[in-house]
Amino acid sequence: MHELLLFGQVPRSRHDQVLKILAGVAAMQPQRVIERHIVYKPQREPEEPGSNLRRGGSQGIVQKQTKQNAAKDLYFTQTVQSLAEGNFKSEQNSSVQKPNLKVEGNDSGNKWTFQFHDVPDTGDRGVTVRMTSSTDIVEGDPHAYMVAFGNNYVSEYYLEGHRFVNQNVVILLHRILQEPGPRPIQTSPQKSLPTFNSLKPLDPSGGYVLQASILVQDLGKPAILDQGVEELKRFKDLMKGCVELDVPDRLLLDTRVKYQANPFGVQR
Amino acid sequence: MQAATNASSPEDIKALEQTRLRLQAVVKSLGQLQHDLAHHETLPSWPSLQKSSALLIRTISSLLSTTETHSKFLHSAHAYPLPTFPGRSQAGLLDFLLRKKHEPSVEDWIIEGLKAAAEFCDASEIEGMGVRVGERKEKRGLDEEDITELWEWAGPAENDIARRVLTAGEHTSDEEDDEDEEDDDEDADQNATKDTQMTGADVPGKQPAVPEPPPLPLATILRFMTTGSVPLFADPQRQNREQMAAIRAMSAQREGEAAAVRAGIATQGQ
Repeated sequence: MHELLLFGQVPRSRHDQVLKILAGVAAMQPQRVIERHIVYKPQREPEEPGSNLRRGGSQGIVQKQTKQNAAKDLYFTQTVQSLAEGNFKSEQNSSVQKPNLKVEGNDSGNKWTFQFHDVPDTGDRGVTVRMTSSTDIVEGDPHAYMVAFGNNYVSEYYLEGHRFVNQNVVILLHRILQEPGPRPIQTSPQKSLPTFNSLKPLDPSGGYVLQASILVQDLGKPAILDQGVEELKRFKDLMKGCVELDVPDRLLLDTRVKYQANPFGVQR
Repeated sequence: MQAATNASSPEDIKALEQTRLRLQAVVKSLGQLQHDLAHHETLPSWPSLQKSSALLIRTISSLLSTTETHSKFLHSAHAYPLPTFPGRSQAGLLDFLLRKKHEPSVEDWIIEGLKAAAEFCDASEIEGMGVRVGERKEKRGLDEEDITELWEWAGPAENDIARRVLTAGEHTSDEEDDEDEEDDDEDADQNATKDTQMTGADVPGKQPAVPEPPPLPLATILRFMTTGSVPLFADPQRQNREQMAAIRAMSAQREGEAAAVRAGIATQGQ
């Protein structure tokens, strides 16, 4: 599955207005979206770029190995849980630190999805094109699954917003929420959800991000891709003057794990 | 064709002919739709899909009404092949004509359709084919009457709404006139507030006491969404600005010190 994307920013003061405009454009009521994203990083550190070229002598056989050992990229991945406001801890018993027994994954109402986004394609089509894959996790503990696959928990955040669908364009007006306070060092996601109102937006101004996307099954058919790009650009033109949609730098959406030089050789 | 009895009246033949025409139309529109769906790289647009499905439904319903009017004859009609029929070369067609029951796959379709209908339909007369039509699942909220009622209500109601929307610009009655004016006033007020908010002009009392912090750059948000951590240097420009400010502060401090020293020298000189 491939995704065509455009992004725009909406200041908080204009959020309600934009929400109404989008409702008019899409001719539908906004659909509430709350998602919990847990970001994972592979346990293995990426190799130094080019390190495989330097090692070894000048024997011919090394050349062969170099080809095989071409450094494979490691990627950040996410598990996503779709939530409703009712899933969060209610205000009343927030003072009582009662462990929430709703272990993720066991409740069929809390759906988990494994998501992977590739680095956006090179080439300027006027929209961001990237490969995505998302797999529903039907049962079991998603965190244990991710760890068993050699991933480390990085952090989690909440995505809150509204979704619209206009023809083939999926419009998501959202912002990122985080738990307040300094982030504690932990290796597994929180077992229980905080209260919804205690979450603080990542952006201190409380601004929203408008994401317009079209899903394309197969990039093999250029006609379909062109049609998708065309439609997304039409939507961009439609929103001109309301929200400026644009293509972000492709490396901003880079999910590859970067090599970090570690001069002291300390294993982190 | 060898269909019908020898004593077929011209009316019966006419009925057969009509049925044949209708069937042909159905086959043609089905084929057209299938072709559109399968052979075009991009899906046909919604309106054209809807148009062809409406066309299909119309041809099917005209076929149904034709078979209904001639149902008595069609039920009693049987195919008797004449000796001159090329039975060897057209064995398949002969089989097809003489077969009294449905093909197994067709039977499956019928059962499927009846099952789908059974979920909201109460009519027990289409029982048979192994589907218990009368027993519909309790979970399904709407039955036949509910749906009929809903659509009987929804059609006119939707018309009303549409008329109100379409004629919003025209003034049909005095009452609406007044309402419109009020709306306009409100709109104007809202626009005014929005404008001020958008231009950032200070309106005492309306603006929040604390000014909004500048929005986080989109880049930071996207980076956070992909890697789960805030990048170290979110904004190089801001970093530069802070650096410049620090340098300026430092030079100001030095100047101050130098001035103090100079002043000290001056006082010593006196």
